[in-house]
Amino acid sequence: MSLPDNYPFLTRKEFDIAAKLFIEQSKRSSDEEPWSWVEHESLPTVPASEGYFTVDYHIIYSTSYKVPVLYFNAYNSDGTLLTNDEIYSNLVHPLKQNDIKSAGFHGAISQQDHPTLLLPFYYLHPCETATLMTSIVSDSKMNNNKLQIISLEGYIRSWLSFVGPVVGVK
Amino acid sequence: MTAPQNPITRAIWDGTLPIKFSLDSTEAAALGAKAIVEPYFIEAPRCSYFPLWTSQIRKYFVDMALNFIGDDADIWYDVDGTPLKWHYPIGLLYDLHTGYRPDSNSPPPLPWPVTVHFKNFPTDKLIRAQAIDATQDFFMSMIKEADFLRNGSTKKVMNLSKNDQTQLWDGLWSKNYDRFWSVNYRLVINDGQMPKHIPIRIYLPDNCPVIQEPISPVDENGNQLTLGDVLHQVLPELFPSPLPSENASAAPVPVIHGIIPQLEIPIVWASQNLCYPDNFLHIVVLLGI
Repeated sequence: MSLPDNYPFLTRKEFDIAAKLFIEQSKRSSDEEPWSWVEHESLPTVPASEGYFTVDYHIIYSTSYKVPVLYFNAYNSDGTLLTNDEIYSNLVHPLKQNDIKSAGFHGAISQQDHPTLLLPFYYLHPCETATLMTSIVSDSKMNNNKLQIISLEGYIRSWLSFVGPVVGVK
Repeated sequence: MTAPQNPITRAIWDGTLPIKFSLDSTEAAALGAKAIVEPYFIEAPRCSYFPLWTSQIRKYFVDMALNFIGDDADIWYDVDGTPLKWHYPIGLLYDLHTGYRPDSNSPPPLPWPVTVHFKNFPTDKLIRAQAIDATQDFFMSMIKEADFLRNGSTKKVMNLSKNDQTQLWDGLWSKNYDRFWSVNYRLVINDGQMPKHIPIRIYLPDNCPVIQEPISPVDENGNQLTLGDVLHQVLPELFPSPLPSENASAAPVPVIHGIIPQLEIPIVWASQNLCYPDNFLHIVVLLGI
């Protein structure tokens, strides 16, 4: 079981390993849409059927904050982007909507250029991720005075289980 | 605390670009402009952002009988058909979109012709602007990221008093050097501590992804790296050596604030003296002539 050298931060190499492990896990799981690895290519948008909208989620490594970041965009069946308000009403859990809207640029859903596609994507700001990942483990039991940390195998899944549901990832 | 009297940061702060704003002609007709509308000229600070000028630009065109009653956030700008990213500093956009090399024989393309649009905001290409608030959010976000890169945490920025944090933005939009730099100085000088990483973003032509990697200011032996060392490390094909090339005009060059900085300058010095107000070095790499 491999552990991050400097938990809660990941090096790019550690992120690569963690992400690929996560993808294998998601392929084996039968109850969710599998994730896939895309190496910097431009991504085609799969058009949704009438009356549905598609959401693309990307997990991207932040070189500055050394943690994963969740980027996403939502498209109508005609390919047009959902508006800010439509994103809130369709993706964000009703109980969390006010919290997020008032969180300012820390916790709010805001837009940023996608790092490789250079197009506007919504994202959850990563500056609180390290704190989140630390608080997850400090709540768990101490084992022989050594604080448990999350392995690379479990890192993405744990992280995603906290940030994902906020924006509709099940 | 008074701002340090640094002639270089002062010169960068004072740097401006004459910009000629013209209406998109089909939109002009659709929005009720009866005759040809004269363009609007602004001497814009290189360190500023387009949304800070939008209400002034809007007022001019509305006074010229344009029937526009929408939001400032609906207004956007393009150069040669490419929408301008409003969250990039104006000087960076100029260096990037004109690709003008200061060492070339021709004069710089000035005034910079920019088209103003009041309709059809390209939501697939531009981040939606909530006008000035969003610009301030982005600006502070960059300052926090710079702090994180330098120190491994955003404690320094977060520990600034609310007053000081506001003063950074206020100083920027009111073009008050002393107001801005009296707070920014503390962030940039970093108590004399060597930063862990340098806040730097490198832009290549043709819509390449922006290069933002954690750059250490020193090598394994603790020697300070130069700008040339960093460019050689990040773009070894374009900069095969940290030293200037023999054939200057054929070689790629870094451009920032419309100048070509010398490759020999220490990167820490560059970070403290040549950064934009958001604390980042935004360096455009232009290829050989």
